[in-house]
Amino acid sequence: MGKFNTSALNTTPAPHLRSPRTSDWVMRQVIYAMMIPTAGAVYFFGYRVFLMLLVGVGASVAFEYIYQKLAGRKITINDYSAVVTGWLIALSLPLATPLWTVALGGVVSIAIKQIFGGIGKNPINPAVFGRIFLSVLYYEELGTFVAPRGATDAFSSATPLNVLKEDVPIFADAVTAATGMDATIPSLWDLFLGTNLGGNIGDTSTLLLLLAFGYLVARRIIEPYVPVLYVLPVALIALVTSGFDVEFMMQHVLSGSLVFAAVFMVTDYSSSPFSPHGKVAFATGAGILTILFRFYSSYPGGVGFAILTMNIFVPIIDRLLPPRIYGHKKRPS
Amino acid sequence: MFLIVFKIKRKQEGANTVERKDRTEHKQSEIASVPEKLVFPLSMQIGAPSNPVVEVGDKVKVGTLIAENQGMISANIHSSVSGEVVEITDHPTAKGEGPCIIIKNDYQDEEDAPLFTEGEKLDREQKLDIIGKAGIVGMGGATFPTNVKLNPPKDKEIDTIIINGAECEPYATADDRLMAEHAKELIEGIRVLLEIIPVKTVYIGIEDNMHDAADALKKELANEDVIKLVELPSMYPQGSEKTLIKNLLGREVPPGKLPADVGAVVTNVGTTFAIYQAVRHGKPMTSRLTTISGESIKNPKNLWVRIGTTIESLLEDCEGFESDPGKMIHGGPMMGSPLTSGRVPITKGTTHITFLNKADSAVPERSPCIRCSECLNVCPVSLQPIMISNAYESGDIEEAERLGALDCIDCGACSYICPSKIPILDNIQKAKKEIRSNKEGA
Ligand code: SF4
Ligand code: SF4
Repeated sequence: MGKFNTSALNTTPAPHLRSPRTSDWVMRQVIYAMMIPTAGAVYFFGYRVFLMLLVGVGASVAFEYIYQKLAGRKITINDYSAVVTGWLIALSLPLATPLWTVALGGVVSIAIKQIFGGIGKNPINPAVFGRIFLSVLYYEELGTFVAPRGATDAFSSATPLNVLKEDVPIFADAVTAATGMDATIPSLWDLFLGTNLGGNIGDTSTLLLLLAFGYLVARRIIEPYVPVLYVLPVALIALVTSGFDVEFMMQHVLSGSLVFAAVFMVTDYSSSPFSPHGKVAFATGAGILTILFRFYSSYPGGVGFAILTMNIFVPIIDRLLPPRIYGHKKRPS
Repeated sequence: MFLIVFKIKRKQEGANTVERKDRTEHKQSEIASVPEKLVFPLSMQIGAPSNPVVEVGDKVKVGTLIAENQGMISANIHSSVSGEVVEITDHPTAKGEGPCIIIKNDYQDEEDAPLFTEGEKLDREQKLDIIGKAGIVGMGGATFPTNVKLNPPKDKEIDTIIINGAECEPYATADDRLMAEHAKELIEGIRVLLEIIPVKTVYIGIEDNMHDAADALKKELANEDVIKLVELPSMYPQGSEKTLIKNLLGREVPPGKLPADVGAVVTNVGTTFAIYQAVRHGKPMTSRLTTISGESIKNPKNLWVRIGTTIESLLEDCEGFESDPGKMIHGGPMMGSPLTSGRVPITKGTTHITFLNKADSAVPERSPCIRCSECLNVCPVSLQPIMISNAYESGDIEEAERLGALDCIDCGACSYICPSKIPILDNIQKAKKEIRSNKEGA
């Protein structure tokens, strides 16, 4: 045996091994999960989806770089979080959205993230904020959805939720054209598969979103109970208030970005509480607010406002619902 | 229901660190060669250091008392070889430089008289006394005097004995091998425990990946209804006393209390084996099973090591290095302490010595917390590790205390899992130190 050279030994304190997972690995898993609905988007809407993604992601990453550079902060575009944000923004917009609007969404999202100090520090979900910002600014334009390929042309259409709310069959043309079916609102099956629907490019197919959900859970990126607890109150309240109309309930669950938000937005780390009980309160609260906003607001899409509202309560939830420490009777207060 | 089951399984997966036990877990234990000089630190146990009762020049035999306990929380130390005391001096130990008795081995292996005469009938008090005399301390690493542990205050009603075989540190396989190769003696050790603390239930808690140990124990326990083997999911830190009590009995030890306060006594398998040797054969604690492992080691082994053998000597038994080690750890990579000298001796609490290779020893770069909650998810005592770490870093020690810093059991799971590689445990330990010194100052 050669002489044992002890001078080169590292003496940093325990633990001496670290998990192979890194923050950028975690973000990459989210990207892989987003690829599932993205593939669906390309299939349903065609190649413009790529363009939107490119612009959304490009604008987000570029803006983060410029902002950090000008603010004299460490450049962190390598952590993929700006990629995730830009990608989510693009997926949450309809096909007809002008590219500069997509870019603006990315910029606004990153701005809200950066003014709070960057990754992990933003109490407001950046993608949700960016999306809401756009929908307030461009209410009219973004209301104009584009029917998928297969329909004879780019129809003026609306989300199924608009149909639900206003009870006018604006959707009929697109759906009838595509399927030959005479329906005022899309069938549940279409809503689940995402076929023959207009809407935001990433959230049409609940099936694909469930696959993405499965991937994120299997990779231990998100807690499975969070999306479930978000959707559950929406379903229950819709069911009870409609006098147990299952179809009405399913329409609420399957449309209006609900599942998309459940998988990708409500689970956002930075704008969610820390503790398991806190997460339960957050997700359930967001679900209840979503259905209330849908019922009692004239503005379509309660999802985003519900999440932003709950974001405000995160510090309070964190303070009130820390885990009970082993051996203690009460939570630390 | 499905969700709950799923949740639990996921939780355990996450707290699961690397195992890295495959190179030694099925390897039959071997007897380590005994070096010419053996080093006996006076502070091998937790509590007061022992007081030397030999002088330079004294002749000793295997089992001769060389240092005796000072006070309740302390322990006797015996020579593990026959030979001569050559020096009593400061020497590198696992706890840093400290006073040690150094004995030159004459390779005669002459044995001193046993702790009691063979055939003598022993009562409960005598057995406890022998365990104390034998210098037995917790061999899982905590090194708390066993006779004290086995004699809880009369008002504490003990209903369960737990034998801790859940060796959860990566690379550690000594307990696993001990159970696989000496199941019979181990169970005899448990019978001694039952003679001292008569309870209705004894659980042997092991991890569900210890197949050799499970097979051997099952065979011995065929017609047994007091002693039960429980295979727990292998996750870190399954072998921590608090985790084990919770997972086996559903009880939580209140802060500042001992397992005895919730009716449980926990002893490690190595300790139980030592109890068997002391109370059935009158042998003091002079050797132990220790794993020498890690990627840098050419031929990793489970070795029966005489207490006082230096790491250098054991390295020769393992044929030295395969690659340059980057870190040498007393214990495992989760809770062990880094060493800088090959002259450090094996003591009663040395479960294993781990040699990490260069790549694994590199400290990864820290990045901002992404609030993934993983540190909370894996904390065995349900703390919010990053919040304590943040409180410490922002100088708010009171907040760190409010958040339960003192409840941290130092398992390191939070720092391990953190994707942002924040030295969470390090900060918590510093916070704890500050909280304690503030208290003393007050
Ligand atoms: S806070 Fe302490 S007990 Fe909790 S995981 Fe970290 S080291 Fe372990
Ligand atoms: S594990 Fe690390 S990144 Fe995740 S919440 Fe804890 S400190 Fe933050």
